[in-house]
Amino acid sequence: MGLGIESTAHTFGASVMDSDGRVLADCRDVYKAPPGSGIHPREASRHHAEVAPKVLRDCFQSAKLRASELDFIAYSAGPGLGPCLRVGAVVARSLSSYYWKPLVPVNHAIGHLELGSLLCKMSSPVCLLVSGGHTAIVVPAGHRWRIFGETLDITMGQLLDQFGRYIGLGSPCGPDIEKMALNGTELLQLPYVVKGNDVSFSGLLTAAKKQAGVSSNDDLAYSLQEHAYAMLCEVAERALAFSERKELLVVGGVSANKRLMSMIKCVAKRQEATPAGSPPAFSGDCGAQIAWAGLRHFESGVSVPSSAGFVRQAWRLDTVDVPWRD
Amino acid sequence: MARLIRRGAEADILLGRWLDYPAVFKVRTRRLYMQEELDDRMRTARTLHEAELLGAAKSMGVATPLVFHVDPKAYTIVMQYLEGPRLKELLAGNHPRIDLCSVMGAFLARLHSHGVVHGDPTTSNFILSEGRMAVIDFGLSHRSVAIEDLAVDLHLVKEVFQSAHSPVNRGAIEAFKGGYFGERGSAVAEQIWERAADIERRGRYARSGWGGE
Repeated sequence: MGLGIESTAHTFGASVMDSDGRVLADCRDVYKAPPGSGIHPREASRHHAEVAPKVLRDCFQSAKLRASELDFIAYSAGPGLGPCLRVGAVVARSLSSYYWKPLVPVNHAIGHLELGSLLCKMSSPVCLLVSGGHTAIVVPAGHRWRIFGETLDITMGQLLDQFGRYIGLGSPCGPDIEKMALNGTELLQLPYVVKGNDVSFSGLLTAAKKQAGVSSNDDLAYSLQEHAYAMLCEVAERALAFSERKELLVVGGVSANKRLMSMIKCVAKRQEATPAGSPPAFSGDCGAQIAWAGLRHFESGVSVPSSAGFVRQAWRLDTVDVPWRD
Repeated sequence: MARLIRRGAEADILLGRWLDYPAVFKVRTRRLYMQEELDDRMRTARTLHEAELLGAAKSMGVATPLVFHVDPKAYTIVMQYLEGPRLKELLAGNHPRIDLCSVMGAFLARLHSHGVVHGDPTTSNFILSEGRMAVIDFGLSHRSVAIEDLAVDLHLVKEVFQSAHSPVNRGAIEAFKGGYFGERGSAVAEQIWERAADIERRGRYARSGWGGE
């Protein structure tokens, strides 16, 4: 069994999982940005440093074990905010050198994909990864997760947050926008940009901001969601049709959105595929995604000495070898 | 009666007859996950657009199926049936036809030099029929001569080779590049190719190397 430490953005999390995929503990503390502003990397990293000891203590207590019983320490090495990543890396290196445990650097996105596949019991799914840091359609092939399509500019989470903050909401804005959208009645015409298997949201964001104050916020939230999610669903359907796979998995923070998930179910039905989304407790960033991906890496022989526990703010998920997959 | 031969992402492909010819009926079906208004707007636009550009491409010397009939109210295009394997299948298996990627490159270059962006240049949209390559599916195409727009097409090609044809990725890109440059001429092609690399670098987390610490 191993410990996973997550600290890419707003969440500091720690989790212990065993090699059967059981989550023995998963604890976290999330940095809250003041209303109207986003994550300030310095403030978020300060938050992480402050809560780290308590989150770790809670984690070990609820898993009922000692650090010395672990096989390895995994940490999120990227991609993410530098100051935040460094807190997790420092904690991981300290534990690793003090307890003489191997260190396993984990790509945060691979964590989402692998934990989602485990919890939803999917073997080789087309994955829609939607969060604040990613928006991509990913398919496992040739010992890597391959990017079939992705955003050409901002992510789904950034679209929701930047629009939400513009109309005065606090980050993360997704849940508030989802609630407002339920009261929307008029579908406004906004840009719909699908280029092949890629999407682009920046034009949609600009158009929605321009319309703020002219149309009601409820209508805007509704129209923004309908356009953006339809774009995601279209590329997801294209990936299913092209790859001829029969599993469609949604992971990442935005998979908590009920409207997106109901649309995804409809896509899967059209392509005779099985849909699934991360269970709500694990859709957001968490230690478990790092622990589980760490386990798979560790079992494939990947680990580094404590002195090589670096972080990579820019680390594309399609550059990571995943030898445990076909 | 027409029978369903393929269910694509946005359209059902049926095989039937038009007058005396075997014909494909491409029917853009209602996508229930989208608001009806949005779906109808898009299906109408794409149907009309595709029919127009299938014809236009032919006049540029790029082989496409002949359009027999367009029914925008039923979101349907009736066109010539081209029988044969798709490039997607030809690149898989033990004897991948990497050479055909050069034809793919030449076709895209030809379209680009006439100001047409295909918009969806994936390997399932190139068919080898009776020994000749043809391009299909112009639903996402548009007219533009902007380097950025042309470069997106090239970016999409690279993306599909990387994600769906990883075993032959390098050879496929080289062949494609040869075909594209040969048709377009190195001076212009180089600019567009370079811009495609830019688009890639703009992608999320695409900067190379280790950050920080």
